Amino acid sequence: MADWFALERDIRAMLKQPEWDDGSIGPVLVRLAWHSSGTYSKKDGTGGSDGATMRHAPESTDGANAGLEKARAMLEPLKKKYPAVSRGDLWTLAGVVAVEAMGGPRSPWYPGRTDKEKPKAAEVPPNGRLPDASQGAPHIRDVFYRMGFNDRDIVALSGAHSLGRCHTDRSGYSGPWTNTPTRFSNQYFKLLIKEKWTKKKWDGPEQYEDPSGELMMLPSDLALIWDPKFKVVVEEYAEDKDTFFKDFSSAFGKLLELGVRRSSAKL
Amino acid sequence: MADWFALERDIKAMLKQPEWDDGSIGPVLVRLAWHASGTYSKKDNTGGSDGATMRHAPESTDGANAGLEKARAMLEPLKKKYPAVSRADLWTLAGVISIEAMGGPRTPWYPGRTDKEKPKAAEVPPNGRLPDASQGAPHIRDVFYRMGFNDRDIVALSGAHTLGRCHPDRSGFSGPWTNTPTRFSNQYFKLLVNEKWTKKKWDGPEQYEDPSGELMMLPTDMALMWDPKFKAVVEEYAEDKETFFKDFSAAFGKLLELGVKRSASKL
Repeated sequence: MADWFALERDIRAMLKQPEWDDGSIGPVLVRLAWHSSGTYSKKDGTGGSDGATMRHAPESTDGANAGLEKARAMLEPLKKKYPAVSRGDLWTLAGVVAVEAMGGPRSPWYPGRTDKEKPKAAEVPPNGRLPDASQGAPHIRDVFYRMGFNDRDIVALSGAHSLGRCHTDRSGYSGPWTNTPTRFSNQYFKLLIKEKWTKKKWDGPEQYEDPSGELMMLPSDLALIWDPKFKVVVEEYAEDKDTFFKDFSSAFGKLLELGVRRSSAKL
Repeated sequence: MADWFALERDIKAMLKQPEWDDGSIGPVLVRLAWHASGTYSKKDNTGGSDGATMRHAPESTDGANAGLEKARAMLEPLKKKYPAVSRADLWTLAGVISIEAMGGPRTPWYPGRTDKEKPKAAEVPPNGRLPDASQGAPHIRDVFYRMGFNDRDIVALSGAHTLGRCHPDRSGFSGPWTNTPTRFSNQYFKLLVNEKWTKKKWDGPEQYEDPSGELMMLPTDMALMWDPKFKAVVEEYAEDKETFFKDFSAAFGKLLELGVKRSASKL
């Protein structure tokens, strides 16, 4: 067991980092929690945040995880300070605390993940399980239904794009989705609905920009308004921040819990 | 370890009970979590939710806990279903889940409390540690400062009186504080500020009623308006539900964690 409240305080205390994007590591910690968890497949129960397998190849070298080695490194001092806490628990809890610290809801989260130090090959999820941002609605549904989510969950989870930004030396895309990348809100949905998104003229991969050129959307973001079923939920969340927060915390909590196996022999 | 998400679902599923007050056991589960925790004294680190000592005399027979034997009994089936979960974790988690299920924020909560099956006399807190509803601001400050709270925390925690009701055969007082006793909101504060409260003419203990006679306030509730420092916070929460929710979840989380000693040797 660990002093969880002290760990929470320490995570919060490390969020502000002036040399990092927009002065906060909150968004990249959310990405780490999500990418650890989003490898889950309900078909065979593989993947998910339990095990902290992102430290191991081939997950560590998945192009989708480019940049996350820095997030893992930033949390390592806390692993040393709280040795009883697994990295699986630490990475997911950091995402939960970061969302809340940035003004979002608190997601349900419980400890109990066990790190795999020497996983067998079959215990490390293969590349390609996380969504490809260049794709559309059919691909998005394939990926998220595989985890056990439905259309509403997909739109809710996508709302985390109110945070952070893309990097040409990581995902290949560039820029933030919103003007407030360190503030959790329903701004992502408002922008999707209200702004005019046009293809960016540049040498990078296909992405879209608002009239100012400062904000961007990925093809997988625009798929949420090109697909009529997703669009209805986008419009709901654009109008109703409370429902978005409620649905997000529930979906994000479920995401981080996917595949977690707590040993019933303990406690 | 336990399947916490399943336990949460089971707690949520048992909240609606048509034969109970206002059709929900949510409010009495919040009271159980609070009374289990509010015995804490920072002077000697005794009391608090760890140990689930309310099952033992003299805490079990404290007049302040009248009626809570029923709440404990309602949760016993979950103790049997989840034997690895301590009662202390179960009672406090049930309070957290109830608040959220009734529309309130999610409070930070972590497992790790250990039940005391055969406590020594010194391990069961004495009667008289919980607040006396007939008293005023000096008493309230004595009780809550002893736990480690400040004036703002006191007002925030009092907002839980938005839920539930009093019973002549339990506390001796009678009636609900608000018209929505199974809905968590800042209504308690709005009513304190906006209504005219006059002494109820009856044979029971001194309490106050609104013009309709349907709602009530205890002397300790009125103290929050009669004391100028408390009043300023009451007025703030009456106007700003988000800040109230944020402050409440932090204070309630701290309350349920008071005195919790997690064994460093486990995990």
